[in-house]
Amino acid sequence: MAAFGVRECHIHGKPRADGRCLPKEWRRGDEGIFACAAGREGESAVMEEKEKRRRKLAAHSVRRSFTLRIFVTVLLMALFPLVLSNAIMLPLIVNKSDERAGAQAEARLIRARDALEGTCRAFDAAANALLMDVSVRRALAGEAVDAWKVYEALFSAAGGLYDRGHLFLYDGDGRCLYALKGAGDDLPTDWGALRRALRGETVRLSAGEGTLALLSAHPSANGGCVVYGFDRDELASMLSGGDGGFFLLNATGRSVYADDAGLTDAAAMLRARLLSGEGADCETDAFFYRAAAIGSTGFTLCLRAARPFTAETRRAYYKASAAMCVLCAVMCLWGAFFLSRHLSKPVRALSRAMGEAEKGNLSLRLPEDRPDELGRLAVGFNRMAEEYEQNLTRSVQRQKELNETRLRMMRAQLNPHFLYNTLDSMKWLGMAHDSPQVATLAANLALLLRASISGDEIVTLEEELELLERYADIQSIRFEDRFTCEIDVSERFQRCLVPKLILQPLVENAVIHALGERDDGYIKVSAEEENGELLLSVTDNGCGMPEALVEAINAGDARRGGGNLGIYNVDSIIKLHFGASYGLTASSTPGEGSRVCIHLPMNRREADA
Amino acid sequence: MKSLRGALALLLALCLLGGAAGAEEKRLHIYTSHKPDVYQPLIDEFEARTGVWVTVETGGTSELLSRIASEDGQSGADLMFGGGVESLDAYNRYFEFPRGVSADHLDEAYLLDGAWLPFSSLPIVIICQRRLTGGRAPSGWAELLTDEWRGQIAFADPMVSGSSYTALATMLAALPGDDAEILSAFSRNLDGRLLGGSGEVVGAVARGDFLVGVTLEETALRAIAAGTDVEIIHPAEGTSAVPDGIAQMKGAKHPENAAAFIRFVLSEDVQKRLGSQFFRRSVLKGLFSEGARAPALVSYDIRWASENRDQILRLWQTAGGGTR
Repeated sequence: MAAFGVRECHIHGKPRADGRCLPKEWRRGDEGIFACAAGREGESAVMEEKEKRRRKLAAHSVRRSFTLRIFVTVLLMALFPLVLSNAIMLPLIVNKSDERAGAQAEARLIRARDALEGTCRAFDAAANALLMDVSVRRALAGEAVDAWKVYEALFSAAGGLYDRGHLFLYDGDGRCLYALKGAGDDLPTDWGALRRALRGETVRLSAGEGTLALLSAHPSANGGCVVYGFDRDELASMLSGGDGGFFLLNATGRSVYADDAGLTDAAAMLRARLLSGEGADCETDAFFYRAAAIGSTGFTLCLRAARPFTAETRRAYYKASAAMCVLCAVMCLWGAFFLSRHLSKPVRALSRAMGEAEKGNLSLRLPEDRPDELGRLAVGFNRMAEEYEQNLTRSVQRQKELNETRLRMMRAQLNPHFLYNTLDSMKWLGMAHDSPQVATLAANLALLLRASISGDEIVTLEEELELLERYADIQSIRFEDRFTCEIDVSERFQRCLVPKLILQPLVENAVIHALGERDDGYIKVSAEEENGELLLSVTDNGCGMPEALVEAINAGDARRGGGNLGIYNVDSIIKLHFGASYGLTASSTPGEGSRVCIHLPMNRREADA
Repeated sequence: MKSLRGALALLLALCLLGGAAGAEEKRLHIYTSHKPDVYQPLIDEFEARTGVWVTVETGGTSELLSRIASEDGQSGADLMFGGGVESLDAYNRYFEFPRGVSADHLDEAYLLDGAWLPFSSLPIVIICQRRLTGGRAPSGWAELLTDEWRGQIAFADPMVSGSSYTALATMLAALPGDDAEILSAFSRNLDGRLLGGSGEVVGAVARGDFLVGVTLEETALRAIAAGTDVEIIHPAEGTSAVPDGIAQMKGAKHPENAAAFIRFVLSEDVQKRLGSQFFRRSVLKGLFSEGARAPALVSYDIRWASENRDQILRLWQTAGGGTR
């Protein structure tokens, strides 16, 4: 804001250089914004321009929105189901497969655990049986005993367990005295399971030593203990029959057996989970882990099973699905774009053509290359425009012709009052100077003129014939009675409506051209009704009309062939009033006579109201 | 998704794993600088005997000790297992003597009124690649100062290696004469060939890069058991056997379990196996010579060595630091 009273024009920015008070040209705007007059003019121009552009844009967008609507609809309809199905189907498949695999792993685990428990129970029973056997007890105590008796006890206690595990008898110094099969390693008495067993604790399960992966030690009251155990192969076949993935955790979560070396990390992971209280059952990206306790030993049997869809596989699927969606989107975009253009182009063309037609430009034609509804629309539009254009041209033409004819007629009208008065004077002078023929000529002429200038366009035949008689009178005086004009029209035609002064030019034509030098010229005017038309004929016995003229008249174009203006006028007037099917016809026999007929529609004047 | 049956099985498992798979009072957290070969069997047996769930964090001795110092009583560990006793002694204020543990059966030479306890004894020995020496071998420390073995001694940089520093201090204790002279003589004899770490000594001698070397007996015995062809020579003048130790943290969360572990590793069951299984020597009275032939010991003052460490090392640098 500049000095007090002078404000900045918000359009031009600079305040006026002079004047401290508010210049008169400065006006307050709608929001209290100041602008100078020039600025406001400019501003209104800008606003107008903006408004125009907005309307144009709106018009455009309205036109475009049809295209856009089709485009968007097609795009959505193609894309939406694809995305939806992918979004629903894929996770569904993945989760279902995962579930099933998890359940299968669980089942495998339970089966293996039950197998292990069952075998251990059987071996426990065997151990108990051995501990109760006298020979065994004595052997464990270190007393002398028959070896075969001990072996007998061993084999009978083992029963069908021979292939499933090992059975040993250890003395109090850790020496293996008897073994069911193979030979047992000497075990330390100050370390491991044997140490605990020799102190009287029944070791249900323990990590194995030497070749044994797992062992169990049962002390005898007399010292020494019965030990059974399983080597890796026996354990493996008991658990999985070779499918792998099993590992065994002891009471403090340490792995004492694993089907393959890759499971040590898994074991450590599960131990950490147990320590943090999370529970051993879990899933990682690629594996399930399930755990089952083994009886009351504190040991846990764990299984690692592969997930059907690892995180990587799942990611790959989702990526592929996303790529497919993108591809489909692109294809849909392309297709939708072309479809909407294909549909809206002819519509727009039609709309444009309509606009042009409204403005008056009817020359625009649409291409008719489509066989479908839009093509038919185009054809219809073209035909309509064509017809409308032709109609317009015709009516313009007709109007022009009517105007020309009228103009011609009007030109033929001189100042009527002057003519009447003069003729009137001539009549009286003729009568005064004893020239009755002059009086007759003048009087008849005055009548004829009056009739032709004023009055209705359409008169009765009676009136028309009256005029014709007047004309004939004049002509007979002029031509010294060298011809006669007979009018033969019956009473019933007298009230027919005909255009004024149509017979006169024909009779004149007959008088001047046909009769020529003859002294006995004869003209007959008659009326007939033929085919619902009124037929007025002018017949003469003159020299006839040239062939060309007869043809021209019959063809409707009397100007050709040397015809005079009068006949042409009559023909035109009739055609203009009643249409092209009415007018003049002519026939002529050269040397004998001619006949010109006027064809009019049959119209009678009603009884005077 | 777990089935109901699975959930029940898990519940059963949890219940039978001694209550919530390692209830708080049945846990023990250990910092150790030992290798898994050493600590894992001990921990497994301890777990089997007591049912305590042991968790282990490994690292270098100095790394773990500085961590203990920074944690300052808020440490998650219950005990520090490993590291030379002189190092543990330096951090003695972070440890407390375990309750219910008696040191009566331990050799007094290893006890220094600290809160820590010795675990195993580690003599320093000379090793030799006899095939290349043509039958010759140094008999003791004095011979390592002679020209015969110039540039042929595999020795780790004492600025970096704790056991190398102990070897230097042992030489000073075993050999008469001025410390500075001994150090400079030895430094000259190294002829600039110093190794980066004590672990490299045995391999270097076996490969023939050096004819003799100085290292811990444990390292040498372990290598020999693995098939490495070097010979151990016990120095005639005698050698030191500085033990590594174990100590319970002050403010340990599971003091009873820590004490139980310490009691376990100091029991005869373990100490008797140190030789046969772990290539170490016992710290129990009278058990030093158990196993492999024991070297003669020189009177080595552990505290003196640890207190004068900086001084001795400065002397070593001045004497040449092993460079030419």
